[in-house]
Amino acid sequence: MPTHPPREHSPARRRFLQTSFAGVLVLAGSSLVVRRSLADTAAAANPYAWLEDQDALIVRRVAPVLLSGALPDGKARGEVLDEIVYGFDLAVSYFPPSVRGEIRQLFDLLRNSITRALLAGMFSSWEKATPAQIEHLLKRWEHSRFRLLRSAYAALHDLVAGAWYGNPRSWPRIGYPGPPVLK
Amino acid sequence: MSASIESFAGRVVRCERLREDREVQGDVVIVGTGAGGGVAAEILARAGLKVILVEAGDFKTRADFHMQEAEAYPELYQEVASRKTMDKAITILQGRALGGSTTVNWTICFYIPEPTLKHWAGRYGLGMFDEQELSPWYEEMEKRLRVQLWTRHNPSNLALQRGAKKLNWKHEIAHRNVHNCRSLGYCGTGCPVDAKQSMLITTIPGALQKGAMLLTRCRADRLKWKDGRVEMLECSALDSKGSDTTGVRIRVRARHFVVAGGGIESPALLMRSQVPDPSALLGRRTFLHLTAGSAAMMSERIDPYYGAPQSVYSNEFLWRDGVDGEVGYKMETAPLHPVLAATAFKAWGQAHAGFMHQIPHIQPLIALLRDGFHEDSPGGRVHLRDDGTAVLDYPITDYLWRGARAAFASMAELQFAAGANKVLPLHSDARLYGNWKQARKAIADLPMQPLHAQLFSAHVMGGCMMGPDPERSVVDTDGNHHQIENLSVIDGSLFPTSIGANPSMPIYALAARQASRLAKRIRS
Ligand SMILES: Cc1cc2nc3c(=O)[nH]c(=O)nc-3n(C[C@H](O)[C@H](O)[C@H](O)COP(=O)(O)OP(=O)(O)OC[C@H]3O[C@@H](n4cnc5c(N)ncnc54)[C@H](O)[C@@H]3O)c2cc1C
Repeated sequence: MPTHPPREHSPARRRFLQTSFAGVLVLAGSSLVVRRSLADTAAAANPYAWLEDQDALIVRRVAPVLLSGALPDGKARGEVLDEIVYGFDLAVSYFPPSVRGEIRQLFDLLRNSITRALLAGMFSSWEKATPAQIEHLLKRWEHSRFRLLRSAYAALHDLVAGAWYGNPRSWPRIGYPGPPVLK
Repeated sequence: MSASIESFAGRVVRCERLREDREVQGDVVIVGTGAGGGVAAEILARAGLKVILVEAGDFKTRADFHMQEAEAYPELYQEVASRKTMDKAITILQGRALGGSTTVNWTICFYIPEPTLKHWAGRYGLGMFDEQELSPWYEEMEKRLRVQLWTRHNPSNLALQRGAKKLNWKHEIAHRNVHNCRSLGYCGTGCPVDAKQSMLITTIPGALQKGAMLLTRCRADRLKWKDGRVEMLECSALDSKGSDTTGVRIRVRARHFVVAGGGIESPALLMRSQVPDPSALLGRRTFLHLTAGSAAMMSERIDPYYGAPQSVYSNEFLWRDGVDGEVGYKMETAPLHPVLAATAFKAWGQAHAGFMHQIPHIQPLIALLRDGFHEDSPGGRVHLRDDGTAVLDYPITDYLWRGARAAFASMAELQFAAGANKVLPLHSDARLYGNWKQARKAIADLPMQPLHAQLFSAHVMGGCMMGPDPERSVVDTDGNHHQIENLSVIDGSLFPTSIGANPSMPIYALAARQASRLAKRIRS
């Protein structure tokens, strides 16, 4: 297949913060390649179609903050979070490889401690991240002056919110009666 | 009436199941089974030609449609209904399904507006498309697709009507291609009762009945051509999700090749095939009917997920500044189901939860900007990624931003006139406004920038522009490629501008005209 036509509109330099997470990762000196080969060997044990365990952890930590005020408490919360991760994973697994690749870069950026600190202002690991730190990340990206970070926010937002509101368990909470029963 | 699609299962090859490469042969192969491809298939098959349909979408029938967004978006839409332009600023809804976008569209039917035809005649040499030429084709397709005037408006459409009346703005009621419609409101997830007269239940079974063969989960990769003639179409089988190839290849030989993959995908196929492009217009001038949205909070229940999604509209601002003046917009409602609402509203936390809580009372309006009529609206350009897949680069010009701002204001004005308590423009810097005066002032100051304003499209058009002059168009006015003799494009990608109205009926009508002429040409 032909290669990508030249991008005459804008120099790569200006573009990297607009369209490519990969550029950011390279600049941050991420040790992507090493991690990826380790992940590939571990993939067999993982219950998801596409997410790796570390990605799933991120979704599980972000979802309750992004959806605060929308999720049930108590025992149901754990189940619902499982379902959100599952819905997120399923949606990504339907994306074409190019889009999956971009989401992979987003997770790499969130998993890498350097880029996470640099771009998300998050200095702790996802295991130890507090809701306040995650709120900080969402606020920062939601209103970032960099389009790339805004689009990263939008991607996380839509996948997490989509996974919850596509789930019938969310509907009674917002007064959506659900599809009519067909006779 | 044709028999339903299930009865022709023997003529369908579900390529995700193939274990070995295949070669098939026919008179005409059609890539895509949407508005253009579906109509062309039936007409060509009825003319006695052996038609082969190639569709990337999955084989589905009404039994697969459960009115669930979580199922429908991955299975029936391009890129899980969240296809984005290159800078991620515009979300594009496009079907990738048996029946194309018609399987998920909202069924409202319009003609190409008169001012658009005049503009095309004057600017693009398309004077042959006048009312007299088009009306028999509209008639034929209206009959085929049982188009009817719709009078059972849901509360959302009644609110649009009420607001427009109050302001003394133009408003009208619309036609829909439905039969025995039960006003469920789930057109967008595939009609579960076969009321929508989509290609899935009309022309595709019609073509199969006449001996056509259908390949689903089959992606057309490139046309092999030599000496001005296409010899073969190379396809890849997709897996059951349609996300990856299985490694199985399908080769299709035919006398004639019709490309009907819709905007973005049709030009992309021609670009991958490296067909001659002397006009340098292939993939260019791709238009979107760039769409802005506004959510009104009403005291009464709107239940915006129920009822015929679109049946009232306002053209008050469509031509207000002349055809090639400031960009005009059509105002319509949109159906609002939970995932659509949750993703269109970009806040998080309590603000988002509060908005979602209101959903039964939300009245959604959209304004569709007719792009392409002004030199500051040249449209987008299709690019191929390294893996050959397509992405649209659509720079939003200041001209369009001005239109979007005006549209936000008009929507809010109408919604307050219709009795809204609060109005929220879909823009990340907007707040819930309590009255029109406050909204007007705030909207005037909103930063009009990518990923601030939420922008959408469900009407991709252009990219394979038609015209009489090979120097200034990709295909001729019958859709035949100027340089390659047995290649035609029959779908929404032919339009030289957006049309200024929801495009399905014009695509049906032009496809009927083009396919009828093509049938004669192939047989002679
Ligand atoms: C949610 C939604 C609501 C809409 N509502 C309305 C409405 O109410 N009224 C209206 O007038 N219009 C509406 N539209 C728009 C209208 O349906 C489309 O403009 C129209 O169907 C486009 O026709 P088309 O033939 O150009 O392409 P499509 O109908 O999109 O069909 C293209 C088909 O080609 C297939 N394809 C593409 N490339 C390949 C390839 N390489 N190999 C194999 N297959 C391929 C795709 O999978 C797809 O199924 C709506 C669209 C959407 C998405």
